[in-house]
Amino acid sequence: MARITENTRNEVKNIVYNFFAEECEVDKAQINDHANIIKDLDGDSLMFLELIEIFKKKYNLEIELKTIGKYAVKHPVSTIGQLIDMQMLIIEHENRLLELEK
Amino acid sequence: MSESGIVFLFPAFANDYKEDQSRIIPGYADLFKVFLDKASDRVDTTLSFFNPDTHNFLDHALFNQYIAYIQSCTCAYLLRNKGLKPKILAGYSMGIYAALFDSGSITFETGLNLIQNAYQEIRNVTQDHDFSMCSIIGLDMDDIYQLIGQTDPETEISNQNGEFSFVLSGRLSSVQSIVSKAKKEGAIHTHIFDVHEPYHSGFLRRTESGFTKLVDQIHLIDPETPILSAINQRQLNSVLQIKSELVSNLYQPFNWYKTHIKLTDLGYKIFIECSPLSALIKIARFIPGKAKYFSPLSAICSPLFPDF
Repeated sequence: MARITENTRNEVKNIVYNFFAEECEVDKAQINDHANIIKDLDGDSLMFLELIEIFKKKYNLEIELKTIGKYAVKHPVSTIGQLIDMQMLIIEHENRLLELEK
Repeated sequence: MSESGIVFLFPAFANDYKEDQSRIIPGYADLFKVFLDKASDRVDTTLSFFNPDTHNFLDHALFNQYIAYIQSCTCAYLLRNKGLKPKILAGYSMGIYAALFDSGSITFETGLNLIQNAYQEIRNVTQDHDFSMCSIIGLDMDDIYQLIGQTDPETEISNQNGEFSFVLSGRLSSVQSIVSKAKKEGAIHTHIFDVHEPYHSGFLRRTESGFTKLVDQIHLIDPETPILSAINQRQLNSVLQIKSELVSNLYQPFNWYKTHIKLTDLGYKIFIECSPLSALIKIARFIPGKAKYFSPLSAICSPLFPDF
C-alpha cells in the first residue's frame, strides 16, 4: 500500500489538470475540481483510461483495469475533483481497491 | 531516424471530427476537392454535397467509407508529393483500399469501385437481419470470450486494438447484451457503433463468392510499397496476395494490435496516419512501445522530416 502525502495529491492534481488542458484544448486556468469532465471539458472515458495508464506507469501500480471499472460502476466519476480522488485511491490501494467496498 | 523507417497508416471510417485538421494541412482542401469531384463523377453525385464543416454523411455507412477513403488518398498523396516515402503501409479494416491506392496497386477509381461493391455484397447478405458492432475497453480476452459464451457464441471478436481493447461483431441483440454485461464486469469504456453490418465476422462469409468474382475482374498490379496484412501480419507483395486479402478482409477478423507489434518488431518507429482525423493515433495511445505517431500536419511540422 503506497503512502500518500500532500505532495502526491498535488502531483496527481497537476498531472490531471495538465492532461485535460492538453487533451481538451482548454486553458489550464479554466479547469477546477468542480468542472464536469464531459459537459464542461468535452472529455470522454477514453481519456480516463489514458490517465490510468499514465498513473500506472508513473507509480508502478499493480491494478487491473476491470478492478477500476468495477469500482467506477459503484462510484461514478463526473468531475475533475472526483477523478483526482479516485486516482488517489487507486494509487493507495491498487488491486485492493474493491476491498474498500467491504 | 531516416525516412526508410516510416509507416503510413490508413483508417476505415470518418467517425470523430473533434480533431479535424483538414482546414490546416497545407494544400489539403484543394486536393481533397479534386478527389471528391472525381468520386462524385464516378460513384455518386451526392458526394459533391459533402460539407467539411458540418461533416454530413457520418451516419451513412457507404458514404462515410468513401469520405474516409478520399481523405486518406488526399493525405497520402500530399505527403508523398512532399517527398515522404513510406517503407510499408497498413490499412485498418476497410482502410486497405486507400493503402492499395497509395501502394500503386490500384487507381483511385478502382478503390471507389471496390468500396461500392464490397458494401453491396455485405448489404446483400445482411439486409434481412439486425447486426451491429461494439467496442469494449478494460477487459481482457478471456473476459470477452466468457461474455460471448454466456450470450451468443456466434458473436465474434472482429478486431483487437490493444491488450484490453476489443471490437465485436454480431447480432444487434447479442451485442447490446454483451455490452451491458461488460459494464457490470468492469469495462471502462463501451460503445455500440452506429453500423448495421457485422464487419470482419463469419456472418459475412457469404460475400466471398460475389466479391471474388469482382476482385478477379479488376486491374491490380504488384504494390510498389508493401502492405502489412492486418489479418495475419504478413507482407502483401503480389497481386495474388492482395486479391486474397481483399476478399477475406470482409469476413475475417483482423488484429490491429498485433499489426502494430509486428511493425515495431520489424524496426519501424515512425507511423503517420494518412487522415486529417487522427482516429488511429488515438487507438495507438493504448499500444505500448516507443513508436512515434504523426498526423499529416504534425509530420509536416516535425524536425524529424527536414525535407518539409
